Amino acid sequence: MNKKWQIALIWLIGIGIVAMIIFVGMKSSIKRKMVSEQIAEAGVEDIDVDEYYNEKSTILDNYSVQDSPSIQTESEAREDITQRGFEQNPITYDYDIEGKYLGNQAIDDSTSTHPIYQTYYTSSAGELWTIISINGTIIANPVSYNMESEVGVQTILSESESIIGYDSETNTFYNTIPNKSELIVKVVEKIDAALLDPLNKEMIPEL
Amino acid sequence: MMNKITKGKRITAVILVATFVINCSGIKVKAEETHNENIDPIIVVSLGDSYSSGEGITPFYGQEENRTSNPDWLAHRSRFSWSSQLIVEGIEGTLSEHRDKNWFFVAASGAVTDNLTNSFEKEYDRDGKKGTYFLDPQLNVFDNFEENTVDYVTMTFGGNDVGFVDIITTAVTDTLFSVPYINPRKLSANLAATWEQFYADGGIKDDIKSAYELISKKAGSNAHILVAGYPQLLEKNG
Repeated sequence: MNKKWQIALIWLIGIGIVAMIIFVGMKSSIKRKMVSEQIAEAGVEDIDVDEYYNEKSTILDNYSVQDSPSIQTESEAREDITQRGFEQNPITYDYDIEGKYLGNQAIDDSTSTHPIYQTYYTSSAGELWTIISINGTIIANPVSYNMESEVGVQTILSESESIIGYDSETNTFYNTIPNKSELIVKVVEKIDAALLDPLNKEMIPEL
Repeated sequence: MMNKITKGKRITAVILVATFVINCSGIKVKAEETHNENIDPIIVVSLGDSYSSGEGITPFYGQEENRTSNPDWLAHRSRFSWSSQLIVEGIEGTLSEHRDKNWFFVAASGAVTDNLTNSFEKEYDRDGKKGTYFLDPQLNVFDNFEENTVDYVTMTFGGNDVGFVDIITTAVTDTLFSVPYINPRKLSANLAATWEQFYADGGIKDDIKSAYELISKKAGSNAHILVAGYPQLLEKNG
């Protein structure tokens, strides 16, 4: 094969590779568009989380999940949650450390880290609680109380006034003080089974 | 009690029957012209998942028999499934009156498209007996017929491939159990993950397309394939 043909062949292969890259890129872009259209069709708003927290809270700070020194491994999260007496139900997570949504998965005591962990607790007072660990901080959501409450704003228990929010899109934690019109935060010294167990629907708003 | 439980489902069945009759009106003449019941009986095959099997609408076929070895019971094939209530031109009464003569019912609760060609493993735990029963691949039903003798195939497929039980569970638990404030994008992330799986190369959409092609091939060129839609499970606004 003479040099002229070799150059032509190299050009042809080059053009083929470029065309393939463009084709794959277009296909991927079309798929992304179809996914966005389906989500929009489902009526679920794709939220701008930065705007969301700017509107609904005072943002104290925000930082990358992967840069957080407080992020817990699965075994650390289990130890923290079970030591508080929340041992009835599996502890689960939904995201990997990079913010990829995985669906509800049970932890297996590995050294893997996740932005949020969750479990449930049923108290002897008959209240169902969601226990959420986010960046090592614990909050408790009284499910049955909130379902029956006529306040119109969700109430949670927290060990501090500031509440950490999470944006999986940017994999960022937001340290916030929620507006009272968005979230009612009852600050308690320590969230554990001993505190939650006797709390009934009349006691929760009085905390 | 049973009437109360089945009332809503029957409404769905009636709507589907109405749709079916309307859809069939265009081919009614063909059915009359080409079918002689003695030499060429009309054959209807009902494949699919729980929406086709009639999950939740008792009584199920086989429930009075040995439940650990009866495929109808294990698949929860209802005597009031929507396909059983269809009226097809050329067959007197509903299909339920012609089971295994004109109507062949192999839908199974929980089936995915893979169960068209592979056995469906059903675990049972009944009367102190635990075990596993393998329901036949649904396409095996076509081995009972000569080529191009199937007239209609009814089905719903794809819901379990998409994981609608998980979607409903997530929608309910997210609404009731979560704190949307701490993770406002969770629902959209969940939906995006589902649709990404749906559109992925070799994903759910491809599986469903392949399933339709397989069914069409096995059913033969004379078969009319009727795919019923799923009801809308949730309102957009909760």
